[in-house]
Amino acid sequence: MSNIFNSPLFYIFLTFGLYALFTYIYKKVKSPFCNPLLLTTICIILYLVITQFSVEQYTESLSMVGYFLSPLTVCLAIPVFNRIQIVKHYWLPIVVGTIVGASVSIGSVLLFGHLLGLDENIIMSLIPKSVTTPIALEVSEKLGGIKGITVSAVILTGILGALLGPLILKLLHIKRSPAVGMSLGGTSHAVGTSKAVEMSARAGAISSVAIVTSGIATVIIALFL
Amino acid sequence: MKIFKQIALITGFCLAGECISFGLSKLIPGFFFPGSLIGMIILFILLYLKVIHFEWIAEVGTFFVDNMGFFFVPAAVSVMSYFDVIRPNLWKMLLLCMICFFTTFTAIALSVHLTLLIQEKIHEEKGHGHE
Repeated sequence: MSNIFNSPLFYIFLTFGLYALFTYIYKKVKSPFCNPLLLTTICIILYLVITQFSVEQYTESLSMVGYFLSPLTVCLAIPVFNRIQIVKHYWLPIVVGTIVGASVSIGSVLLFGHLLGLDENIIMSLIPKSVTTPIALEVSEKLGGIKGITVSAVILTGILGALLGPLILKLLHIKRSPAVGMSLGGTSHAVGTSKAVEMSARAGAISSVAIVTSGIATVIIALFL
Repeated sequence: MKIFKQIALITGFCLAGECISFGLSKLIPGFFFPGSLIGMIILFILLYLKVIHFEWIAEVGTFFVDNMGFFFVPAAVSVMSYFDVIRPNLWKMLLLCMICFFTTFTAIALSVHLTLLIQEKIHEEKGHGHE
C-alpha cells in the first residue's frame, strides 16, 4: 500500500485535489485564514508527518510545478497593463508608496533581525516577505535564504495584512483609496489585495499594481545587499 | 491550440529575459537582475505598445495570476525540512514579522496619504490662480 500512497501520481492527485477543494471553500467563506495555499500546505505537512513519508519524495513528485516560477512572474505584467489608466492617474503616490514600502520593509527586517540576534540565513529568508511569492523566492534565492521559510513568512505577512490592515487604517484615519490600496498591496501582496477589493474597487486596482511595483523595488534594493 | 500557443509565448518571454539577464551579468560582473523580471518588463512594454495583443496571452496569463498560490505548495511544504532551524527561533521570527509588518504598513499608508494631501493642495492653489 505504501507505494501507492507515496507515489508521484498520488501526490499530484492530493495537491490538485486539496487546492481545488480549498479554493471552493475560500470562495464561499472569504476569510484570510481559508487561503487555499495555507490550508493545502498544512494538510500535506500533516499527511507527511503522520505517514512518516519523506518530504523530498513529495517535492520531487511536484518538481514540475516549480518550473512555473518564472512564467508566473512574467504574467504579473498583466494586472498592471489592465490597470494602466489608474497607473497614469496615480503615478506619483504609487512611486512614493513603492519606494517607501520596499526600503522600510527591508530596512526593518535587517535592523530588528540583528537586534533579535537571528541567524543571517533566516534574516535573508525574511527580507522579501512583503513581496508576491514568485519574486520573493527569486530574491531569497539570490540572498542565500531558505525558500520554505520565505514562503511561510510571505503567507503570514499576507494574513496579517488582511486581518490588521483595515484596523491600522481606521486608527490612522486614512480612507483615500490610493493609500488603502498601496499599503495593503505593498505589504500583503495578493492576500492584502483581496481585502482592498472589498474596501473599494479603486483600492483593489491600486493594490494589484502595488504588488508588482513593490516586487520590482525589492529586487532592485536586494541588488545592493 | 490556443492554450499551447499562449504557454509557448509566455515561456518565450521568460527565456528572452533569462538571455538578457545572462548577458547583463557578463557585461557587468556581479550584477544580477532576475530574468523573469526582465521578461515581465518586456511583456509589459510590448503590451503597452500593442505589439503583443492581450488576447494572445489572456487565458493562460489570467489563470496564472489568479491561481498563483497553487504553484508554491511544494515550496511551502519544504519548510518541514527546516523545523529544526525554525523551532528555537520561532518566537523571534514571529515577532520580527509582526514588527516589520506594522512599520512597513504604517510607512506606506502615511507616505501615500501625505503625497495625496500635497497633490490636492497644489491642485487647489493652481485652481485659485486661474480664477
